[in-house]
Amino acid sequence: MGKNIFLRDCSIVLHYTGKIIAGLSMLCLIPALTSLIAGEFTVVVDFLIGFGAMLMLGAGLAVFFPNVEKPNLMHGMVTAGISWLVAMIVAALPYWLSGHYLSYLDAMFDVMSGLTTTGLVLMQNLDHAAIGINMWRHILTFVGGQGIIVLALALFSDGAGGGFGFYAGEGKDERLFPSVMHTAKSIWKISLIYLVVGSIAFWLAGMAIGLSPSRAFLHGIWMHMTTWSTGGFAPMSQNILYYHSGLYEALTFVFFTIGSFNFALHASVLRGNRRELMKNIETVSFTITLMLTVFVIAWGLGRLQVYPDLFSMMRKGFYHIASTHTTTGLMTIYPQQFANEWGDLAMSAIIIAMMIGGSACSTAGGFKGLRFGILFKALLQEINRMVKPRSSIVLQKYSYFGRQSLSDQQIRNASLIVLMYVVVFSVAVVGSCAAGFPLLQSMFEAASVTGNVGLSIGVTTAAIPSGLKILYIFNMWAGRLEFMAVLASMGLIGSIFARKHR
Amino acid sequence: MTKINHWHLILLLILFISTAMTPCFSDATDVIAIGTLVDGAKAFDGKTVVIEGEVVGDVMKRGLYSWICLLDEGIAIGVWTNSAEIPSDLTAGGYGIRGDYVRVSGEFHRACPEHGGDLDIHHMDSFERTAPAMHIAYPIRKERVIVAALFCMMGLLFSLLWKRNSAKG
Repeated sequence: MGKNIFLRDCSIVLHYTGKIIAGLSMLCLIPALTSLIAGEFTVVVDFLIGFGAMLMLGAGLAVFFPNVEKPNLMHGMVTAGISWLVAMIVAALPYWLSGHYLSYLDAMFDVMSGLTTTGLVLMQNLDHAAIGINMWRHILTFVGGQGIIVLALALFSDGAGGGFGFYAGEGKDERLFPSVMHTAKSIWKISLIYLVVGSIAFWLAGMAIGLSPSRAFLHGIWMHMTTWSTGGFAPMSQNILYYHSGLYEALTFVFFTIGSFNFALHASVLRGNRRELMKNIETVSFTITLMLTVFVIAWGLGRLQVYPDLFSMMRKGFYHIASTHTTTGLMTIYPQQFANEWGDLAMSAIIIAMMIGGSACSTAGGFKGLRFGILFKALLQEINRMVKPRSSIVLQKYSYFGRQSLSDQQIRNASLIVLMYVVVFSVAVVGSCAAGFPLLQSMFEAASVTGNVGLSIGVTTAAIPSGLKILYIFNMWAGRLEFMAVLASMGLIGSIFARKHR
Repeated sequence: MTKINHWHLILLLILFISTAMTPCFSDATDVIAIGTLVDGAKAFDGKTVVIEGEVVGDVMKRGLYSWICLLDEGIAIGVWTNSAEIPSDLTAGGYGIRGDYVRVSGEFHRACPEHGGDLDIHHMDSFERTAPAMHIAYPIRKERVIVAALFCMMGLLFSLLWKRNSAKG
C-alpha cells in the first residue's frame, strides 16, 4: 500500500517535470533561429540537439508516467525542485557543445546561474561567443526570473487544479488573480510588455553610444532581459563597464529596480493604485535599506579615497549598491577592485545588501524586503510590549496590498526563511574558506550565490574545486526556490535511497 | 691578411649579446599584460603603459573620440582614443573572427575622472597593428547533424504519443 502511494507520487512528479522540460525545449528554437539568421550554422545544429534532447526527455516522461491524479501541494513543491535540477542538466547541452566550457559541470553551473538570475559566469572566451549562445544565456535568465514553472503554467495549465503547489514551489506566493493559471499568464504579460519597452529603450541608447543598429538591437534585447530579471549576465566579458556609458548604466538601473518589485505591485500600479507604491512595506523597506547601505558605502569609499571625485565615487558606489540590493549583479568595475581597493567597510555594505535582496514574488533574490520589514516590525512590537503595561494589547500594522496586522504566523514564516538563508550562507562561507579563500572574500561570494546576486570578488572561476562549484549550484538553487521546494525534493530523493537500502 | 686581435673578439661578443637580448628589452619589458595592470591598478595609476591585445566587440564612436576594447589572456580593457587614429579597416573580433592584434601606449587610469571612475587607458600615444584579423571556420560536423535529427525525431514521436494519450483522457 505504502509502496503504491510512493510510486504514484513519483509518477505524478515525473509527469509534470516532463511537461516543464518539454516547455523549456521550445525556448531552444529561439537561439537556433537567431543563429540561423546570423549564419552561425554550427550553432544551429547544437541547439537542435538541445531541443531534441529536451523534447525527447520531457515528452518521454509525460508518456511513460501518465497522469492519473491531480497533484497536491507536496507534488507541486517536489516537481518545482526536481524540474529546476533536470532543466539545469539538459539546458547545459548547447553550452557544452559550444566548446566554451572546460567541463559539463561548468556548463551546468552557468545554466543554474542563469535560471536563478544569479549571473556568475564560468564560460571561457565570452567575447568570441556566438550570437545564438548569448541569446540562450539571456533567455535562460529572462525565463528563470519569471520562473520556468510559471512559464509552464502559462503554456500548459488546463486549470485542473494543484497549480498553487507548483507556483509556491518556485518561491512565489502572491496571487495576482484568484486562479494561479491567470496569475502566471499575467506575470508573463507584464514581463513581455516591459520586454518591448525596455528593448526599444536600450536599442536607442545603444545607437547613441556608438553601437551599430543591429548590434544595438541585440545588446538592447539582452540587456533588457538581464536587467528586468535582475540577472547579471552581459554579452561581453567586461559586463556593463564595456559600454563606458552613464546613459546605459542609468537605463539598467531603471529596469533592474522595476524588475526587483513585486509582480503584484506592478499589477496594482497598472490598475491605477499608485499609492501602493509609496506605502507598501517592501518599497518602504527597500528605500530605507538602500539609503543606509549607500551611506555606508560612501563612507567606506570616501574614507579610503578610492575615487578621485565625489561624482565618480557616487556613480560607482550607488550603482553597485543598487545592483546588489536588487540582486542584479551588473558590474562596472573588475572583481579584483573589490578586494584590492574598496576596503572592508564598503564591502560589508555590499554583503548586507546582497543578503536582503529585492521584493517577494519578483525576479529578485535574497531573503527579501518583505521579510526584513516583517522582522523589523516584530522587533518594534516586542519593544512596545516591554515598555507598555502588561494589560495593554500591542498591535503592529503594516501596508501590503491593504492594511495588515502582524501575526505570529507571519513572523514565524519570515524567521524560518531568514534562518535557512543564514544556514546555507554559512555553509558556503565554510566551503569557500576550505577551498583556501580568505574569510571576507568567502563571505562576499557566499552572499552573492545565496542571494542570487552574481557580483564576484574573483572567487568564482573555472579553476575552483568541483566540490565548491556543486555547493554554489546548491546555494543558487535553494536560494531561488526559497527552501520549501528544495526540502520537499530532498525528502523525496532521501526516501528513494532509504527504500533502496531497506 | 688582417690579423684578428682581442679587440675584434670583444666587439663580436658585444654584438652577439646585444642581438640575443634584443627581444627581451624591446618587447617583454615594455608590454604589460592587461591582467597585471588590473591586479596592480594602484601601482600603475596615471602611468604611461604599453599593452597588446586583440580588438574585440565594437568600435564605439563618441564624437571625435572612440572606445575600443582590447582583450589579452581573457581580460579586456577599454581604450579611449581619438577616432582619427583608428584605421578605418580595423577589424574587431567576435564569433568566427579573431580580431586585429594591436599594440597601444597610453595613460592608465585606475579610476578615470573623465569617465566616472572607470578603469581605462587614455590619451593613446601610439597605435600599431601587430597581427591582422583572421576568420576562424567552424565546419558543421556530420555526426552532430545525425544526432540532432535523431533526437528531434524521437522528441516529436514522444510528443505525438503524449498528445494522443491526453486526447484519450
